[in-house]
Amino acid sequence: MGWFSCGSAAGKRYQRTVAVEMGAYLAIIEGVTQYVRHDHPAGWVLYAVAAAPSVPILGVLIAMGRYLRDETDEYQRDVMVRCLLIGTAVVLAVTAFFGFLRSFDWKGELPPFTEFVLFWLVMAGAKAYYRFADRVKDDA
Amino acid sequence: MHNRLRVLRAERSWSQADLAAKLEVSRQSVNAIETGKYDPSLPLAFRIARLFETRIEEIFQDDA
Repeated sequence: MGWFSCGSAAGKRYQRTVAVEMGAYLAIIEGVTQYVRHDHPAGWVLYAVAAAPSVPILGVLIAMGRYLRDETDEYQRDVMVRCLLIGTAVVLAVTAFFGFLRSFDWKGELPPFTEFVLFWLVMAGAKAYYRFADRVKDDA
Repeated sequence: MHNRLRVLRAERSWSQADLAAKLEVSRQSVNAIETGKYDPSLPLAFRIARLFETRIEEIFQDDA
């Protein structure tokens, strides 16, 4: 998710933190998946195991908040906020759509983590759009 | 709101990168302001005005 960085100190710090958190996320996912498959935990242990991958995700969201607080380039901050809003709007629209389908007795089901994946993909797309729209010639 | 940033910059033969470095913002920010995609905050507008040694209203004009 380094596409948020604009090369500022805050952007670089954000990129580093996200890289660490995503590495931790992948390691935790692998660890808990193996653990659940082999040991079949139940009760509070299962809750704890399910909560573990959420910790680095929370870390990414905190890093995003820190970036917004520390970024001194107000335009880059504005772009980040716009991307967050676009990601949130699309996820809310899609979940509302499927919510209505379910309320009309639709029996289908979205795969787990659809909202989270969709949120990041839309944010990445929005950021890519702004990068493209804001490109400048070398001699400008 | 429109502005004379590009003209003022050209008068000094500064590139967008030069101006961005002087203002301590990204080149994308300078480009977005020049093209009218983004209106700077009052503190940044003051910084721009100080850099060009002029008044804010000499750089930024309200369309109203």
